[in-house]
Amino acid sequence: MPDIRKARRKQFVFAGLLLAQLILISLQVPLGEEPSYFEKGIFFVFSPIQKGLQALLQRIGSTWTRYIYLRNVERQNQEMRDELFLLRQENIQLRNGLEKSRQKEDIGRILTDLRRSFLFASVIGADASDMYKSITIDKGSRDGLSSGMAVVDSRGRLVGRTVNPVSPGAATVQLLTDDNSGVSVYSGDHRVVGVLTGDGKSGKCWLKYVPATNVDLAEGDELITSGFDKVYPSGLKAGRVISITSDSTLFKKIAVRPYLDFGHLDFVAVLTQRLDTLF
Amino acid sequence: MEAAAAALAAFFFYTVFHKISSSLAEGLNVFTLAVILIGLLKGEMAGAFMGFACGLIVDAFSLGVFGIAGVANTLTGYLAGYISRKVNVLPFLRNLVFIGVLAGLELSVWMGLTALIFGEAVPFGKGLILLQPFLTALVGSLLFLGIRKIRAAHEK
Repeated sequence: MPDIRKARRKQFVFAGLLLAQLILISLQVPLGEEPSYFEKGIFFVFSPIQKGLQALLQRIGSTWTRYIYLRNVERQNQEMRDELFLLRQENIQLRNGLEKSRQKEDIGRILTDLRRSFLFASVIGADASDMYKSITIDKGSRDGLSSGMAVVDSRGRLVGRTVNPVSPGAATVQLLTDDNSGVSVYSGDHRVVGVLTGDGKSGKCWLKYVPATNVDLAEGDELITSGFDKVYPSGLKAGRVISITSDSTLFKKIAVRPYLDFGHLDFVAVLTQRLDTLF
Repeated sequence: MEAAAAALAAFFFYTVFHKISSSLAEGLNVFTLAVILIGLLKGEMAGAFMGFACGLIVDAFSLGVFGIAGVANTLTGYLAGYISRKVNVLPFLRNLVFIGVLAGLELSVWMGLTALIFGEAVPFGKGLILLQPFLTALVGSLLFLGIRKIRAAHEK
């Protein structure tokens, strides 16, 4: 008899746990993208652990590369010196160009604001269910981050945007490969405008709402953010068109390979203010 | 206490695997593995609570509806403990199939709920996700074998 009672109690507890999860789902669905306080709380508790672990792994990895594995360091140094030289020349030319249309004080202010607009962050985790949806970075509201800020990689190419939950020390970034993301872009060559959205399955994207009658867009065209969506600043490189097909619908089916490289996504930069407002 | 330590260990390995390779993190579901192992070793209630906790962590670190991974993992943890009490799953091959079936069930429930709530096709992630039950089963049964050997050595 006590065995039956014990088994029944276990079943009740199990049913209670399932019911609690179903309640959480039904509370979340109407909120949409906005996380519940419960989810924010768990993110708040676990993200510092993840951040600490990642820092530890980084330290172990850098001990190896800084003190033991120095095979390519000389070549890398030379490459960086060359790049620095070219960037300095480019910088001088751009300053000279800018001085023709702006006052010197204006230029100083613009450049200071420009430096302040980038916040560098390390990637400390990927989405726990689907790697194409989101990443977690080690900067949060304490560093001035909030949801809706554009995120770029080390070459200034679009990665995604910050979304909630944002804790004091960490933030979630929705990748442009997420099927719920949408970025207004245009093709650099022909100024064809469309909305870039992820397919959420394979790391590819789709360019939507380009009319079937359009003949300007071609395979290999580069896509750049237009800024029309008021989320992403204009001028960020997003990806390249890899195939265009037409069916009986009003719009073309355009596949895009984003520049976002999952293999080299260790560091990103968050644009804390829109660059197009600086100039 | 052991379940909490296992949940933290799963979170540790999830972070480490992501650092090594995002494909590895996608192919091997460490949270489900920890839930099944706790279910097998400690019984259905510990498995269900472990599934509940791990599900919440997975949901907090992924975009989408909060609670989906929780349901899938709670169910998996409970079944792991319940079935292992009724059926002998100690031999290696049987253990491999058992963990594989449970990992497949967890993935199916998660995919089914995602498809139901979002009303769209399930994310297959370049097919890597389909390897998840097999990889999870292989690593899980090897771990389980190791744990049993260590326990047997301690008892001697």
